[in-house]
Amino acid sequence: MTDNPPTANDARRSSARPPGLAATVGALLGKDLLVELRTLESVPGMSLFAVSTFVVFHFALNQNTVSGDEAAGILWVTLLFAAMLGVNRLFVADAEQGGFDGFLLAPVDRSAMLVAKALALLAYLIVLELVAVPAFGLLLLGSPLGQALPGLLAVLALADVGIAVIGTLIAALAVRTRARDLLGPLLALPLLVPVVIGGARASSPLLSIVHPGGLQLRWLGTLGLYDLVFGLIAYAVFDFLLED
Amino acid sequence: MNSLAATLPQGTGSGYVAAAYIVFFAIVLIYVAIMAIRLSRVERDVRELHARAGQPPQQPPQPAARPGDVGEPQLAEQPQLGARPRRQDETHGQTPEPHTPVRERETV
Amino acid sequence: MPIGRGLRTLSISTVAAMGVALGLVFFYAPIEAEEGFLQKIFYLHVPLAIVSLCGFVLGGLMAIAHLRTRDQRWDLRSYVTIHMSLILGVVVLLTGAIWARGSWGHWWVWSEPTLVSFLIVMLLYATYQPLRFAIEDPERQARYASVFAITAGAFVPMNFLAVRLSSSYLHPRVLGSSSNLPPPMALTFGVSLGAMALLFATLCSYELAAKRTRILLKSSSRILGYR
Repeated sequence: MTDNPPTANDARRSSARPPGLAATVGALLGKDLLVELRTLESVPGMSLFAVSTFVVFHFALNQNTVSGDEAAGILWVTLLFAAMLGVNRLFVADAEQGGFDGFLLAPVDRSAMLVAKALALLAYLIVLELVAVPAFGLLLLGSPLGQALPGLLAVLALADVGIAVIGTLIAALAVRTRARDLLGPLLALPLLVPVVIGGARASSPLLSIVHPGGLQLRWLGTLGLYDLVFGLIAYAVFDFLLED
Repeated sequence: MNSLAATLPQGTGSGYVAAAYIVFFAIVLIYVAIMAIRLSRVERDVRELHARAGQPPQQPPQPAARPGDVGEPQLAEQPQLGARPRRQDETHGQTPEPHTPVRERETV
Repeated sequence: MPIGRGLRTLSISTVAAMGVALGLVFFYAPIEAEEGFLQKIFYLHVPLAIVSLCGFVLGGLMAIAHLRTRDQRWDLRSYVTIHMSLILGVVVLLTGAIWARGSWGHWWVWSEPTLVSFLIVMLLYATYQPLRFAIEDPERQARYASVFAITAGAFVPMNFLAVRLSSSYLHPRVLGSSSNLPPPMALTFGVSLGAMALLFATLCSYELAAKRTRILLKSSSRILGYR
């Protein structure tokens, strides 16, 4: 903010180069993370939901420990549904407070919003898992979590990217419709079935007491393919959601 | 049909096969029936339009509103030739207010 | 293009193809060794499934055309194609359940990956119309629906891959495969597939004609100043 009236040089400089994709993404991501840090709207809720769900599962299944397929199933279902909570809230502030309009007026690549929001959702998912996975190991898991952890982290990383991409796309789709809280999960859950398949099948041998196994590459490959395909598609179609 | 019945092996799932094909044809026929209903509705609307346009009517003009009508075509939207109808067929209820191009009310 | 052009030809060919297909299924194709007469459902269920899935993917391709050309007619075609695939998909699930009941005694089996994938795809596309009806602005509705159709169209093959990978661990293919068919069965299958594709094209054409007529009717009413 200068005190002098703008000169021709200033005008020329400010209109010289619109910010590049990385700069735009950085700015948007910073804003979203800052807002989340201050309002704590999404992540604490998601984490609390996950831990509560584990408790519910204990009573629903009437078991003290789970392992193998059961453990993988509980973990992935809980993560998925907690992610839905985050997805629902992802664009709400922008839709309600005019964030879309401001963004559309700026001379930036519109796909930057997709990348920024997906990275934000990814960040939320990572924090969610930092809470949920140890909680799972504490509350429900029969086998020690430590030896499963490296493989589990790889699976979680790939799956999180898929959830982030699809979650962001569906959140943008659903946020400006009626009944957005219903439509979001309804659209996202079938789309995320391959992630559940890959994640659960890959985690199951890691979490197993009876037949412990290693990480199978085919599921990592499936998750990676899913991330790639839908990442590209989301990047291609996202612009069309922002048009008005 | 007798030759067909004679070729059916006894009790090896012929009932299920029949059920499957019947389901298929039933759904196709239901669709045909729905199309027939829509066609008659279109014909009625065209005839009404024709009468209203001032041509010598072939039949006495139909009254404008009938109690049995479910979902007359929604005409409140802005004139856009080739605009997509919002409802797939007339049996859904219609939203009364015209849509506007501004951002719609948010529902939480 | 005038509304309803080619409908008569399509309808007659569909009826003819259906007749030939049925004749082949019940009088020409041999009874299969393992499953017996029940296997005849295969000629109904699998062609319908293939046509329905291709319809979903086709709806996605039409949605791409819509987004690129902004021509609302592509959106109409995309909508009709997806709608018709949904209807045929219901028949696929019902006939699949009947087949499972006859084969295994259960109305649903998880061991048949095609059927399972189909269920997931149907659950996804069942949200297509609620999504459309939740958006009032017609232009935005068409745009958002096209985005959905493209994403879902890409999802169909991805989903099949994932489900097939997962179930290959559990059971081998149960309800019959369409590969390694002896020639008479392959011929019957091919004709059935063609007949179902023609049926799909005919039903879509009828639906398109009905919709376009209705649009024309509404705009005529408006132009003439009535209502």
